[in-house]
Amino acid sequence: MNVINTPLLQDYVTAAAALPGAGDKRITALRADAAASYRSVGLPNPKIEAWKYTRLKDLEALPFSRAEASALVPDTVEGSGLAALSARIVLVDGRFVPELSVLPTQAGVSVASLRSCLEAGEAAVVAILDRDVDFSQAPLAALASAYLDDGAVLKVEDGVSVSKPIEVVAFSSTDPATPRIAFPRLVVSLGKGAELTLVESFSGPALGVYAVDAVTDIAMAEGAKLKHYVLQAEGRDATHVSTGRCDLPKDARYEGFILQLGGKVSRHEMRLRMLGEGSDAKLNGAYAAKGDAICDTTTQVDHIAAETTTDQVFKGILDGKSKGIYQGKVHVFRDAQRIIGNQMHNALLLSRAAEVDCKPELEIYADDVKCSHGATCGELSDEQVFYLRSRGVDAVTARAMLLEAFLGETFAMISDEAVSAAFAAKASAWLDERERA
Amino acid sequence: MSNGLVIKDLRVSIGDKEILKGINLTVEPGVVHAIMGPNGSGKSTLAHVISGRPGYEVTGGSITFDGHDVLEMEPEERAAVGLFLAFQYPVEIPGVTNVNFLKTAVNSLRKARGEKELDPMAFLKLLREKAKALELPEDMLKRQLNVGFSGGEKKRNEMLQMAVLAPKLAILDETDSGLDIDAIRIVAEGVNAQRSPDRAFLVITHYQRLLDYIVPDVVHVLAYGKIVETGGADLARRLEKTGYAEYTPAA
Repeated sequence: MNVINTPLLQDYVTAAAALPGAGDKRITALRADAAASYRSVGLPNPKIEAWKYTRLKDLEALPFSRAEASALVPDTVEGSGLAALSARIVLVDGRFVPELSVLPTQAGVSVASLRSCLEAGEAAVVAILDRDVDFSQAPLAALASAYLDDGAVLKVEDGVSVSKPIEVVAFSSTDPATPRIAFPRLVVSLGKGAELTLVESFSGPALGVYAVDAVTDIAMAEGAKLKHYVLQAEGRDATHVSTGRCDLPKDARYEGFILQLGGKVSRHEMRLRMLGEGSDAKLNGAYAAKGDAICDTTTQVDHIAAETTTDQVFKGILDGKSKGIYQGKVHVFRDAQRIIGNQMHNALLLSRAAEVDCKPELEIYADDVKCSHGATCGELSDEQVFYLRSRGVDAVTARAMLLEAFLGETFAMISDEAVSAAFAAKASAWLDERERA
Repeated sequence: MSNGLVIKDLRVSIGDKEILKGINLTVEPGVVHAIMGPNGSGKSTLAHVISGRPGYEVTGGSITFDGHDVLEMEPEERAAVGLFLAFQYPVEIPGVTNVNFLKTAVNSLRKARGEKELDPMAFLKLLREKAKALELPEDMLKRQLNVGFSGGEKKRNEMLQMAVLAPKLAILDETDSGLDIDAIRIVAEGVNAQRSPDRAFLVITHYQRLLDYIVPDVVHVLAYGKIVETGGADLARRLEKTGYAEYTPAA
């Protein structure tokens, strides 16, 4: 398929002229580079190494167009279910909706629409957007950047510790007349020693075709601490692609978790760049898929500075004819001595037709490193099921207990107790629904 | 009907191989039976078939417990009528805590018997009391089920489950295997403390040693798929001296 002829960039010249900050050279250059990159690569295909296992079939087959500002803003949008928050930012079809958002009141914490920042040509925001990004392996991030428009910008000043989590809910609507793609974008900036717990939730209507192409850019200053938890709970017919990036300078701390439970085809990608000595990242996650869903989790960690550590644990449950993908790349640069990089992926297949593709990748150019990776794939243990049943627990409950326990081990790694409980509840609801089906 | 466990002419195969070749056994309420025998005689198979473990084909005979047709019941239904198997190799279940597992088990059994579920406080009280009697440290209750437990801890945990679930018939499948003498003593004391007129035991063991501590009322020798001799506690002591050589098929 000749992707250049897809409607995705057809209206581009006209559309780009109307995008915010179109008079700003830095912003237009950024968009033009991204558009050129997308044109040269096109939609993800097996020729792109990072997209070997996942095809965005709906985007290939259907005439998607960019989601215009939605006239029908819902009254409420569902997120993670967390009650105690410092702020709740709502994006609908990628657009910042102040009426649905609750803005932070704490000094040193600010939220603005990305559109207003682009219109004002805010240098700090443009600088974060303009960090050297390799679009060659990330065509959807290129497409989203070509249409750089609205979203949210979240800033935490030096030394400020945000008291409660901030949640960003990216809700997408569906249009029965035409399939639409939304580009929610989040820019996060943490000052020196700042601390934040950020929850990103993606959701949409339970039924109906739509696509989301999200990008999250995170910039941290020295010694900043971020807990970054992502919940992907898109509707059953959704195509979801999300690309996150976080740069860690000296002594920065990152704790991430990616929970994927929805969508027809979903791909969540997170890139961490360990730029400063003493930076440390933990990136864990869980996913569950059924029917013919495809669920892809891709991580890339670049150990650029010495004495940096990363640790990744991912677990997935695959039912029906679903397919799970975990790709974890760890790249250790030449001068990145004394680094530690571990990754582990465990999958549980509940049906013979389910599939899992796991690709750990280590690229090491330094000689004093400790790196490990491991992967397991199996079925629910008959031994374990029988043990529970022999104590009086019925078969359905026994299986549910074991599945919950399997994913539960990952939720125990979420250090924020409220988020840990909220994510465990989401997974539990998914399992209950599966049990009833 | 409380006539205990009645096994009649039980025949069991794994694949093409016949393991149990016509077992007849009655375990009356409150009585402690021991089954001894050489390795590969079918002792564990018997324990597994009574408890409903998958993988065995029953080709003939019957098992009833207090009048229930055991072979027609799911494992959890067998537990509900009062059968309990203490595993030779207790299974590790990561992500499920000991306390949550036991709470689910206790309440599943109560529900199946039409009884009210225990409230969390009453359950914890019961659990603590039973754990204390078995000299189990309280932190073991919060740990993941059997994960990282030593051999002795796993067996003591089986005894704890038995104490909490209060079965009418407990089958101990080589509970002494892999245990040192102190661990055997603790396990045996746990069993003896639970002996009562309405609780029977079927103690399966290769060695007589365990039976020094849990003195049985009846001892059976199972060899090559059949019960070849039945006697009192003295039979176990005799076997300790002579071994199982006299029961070889050629003999």
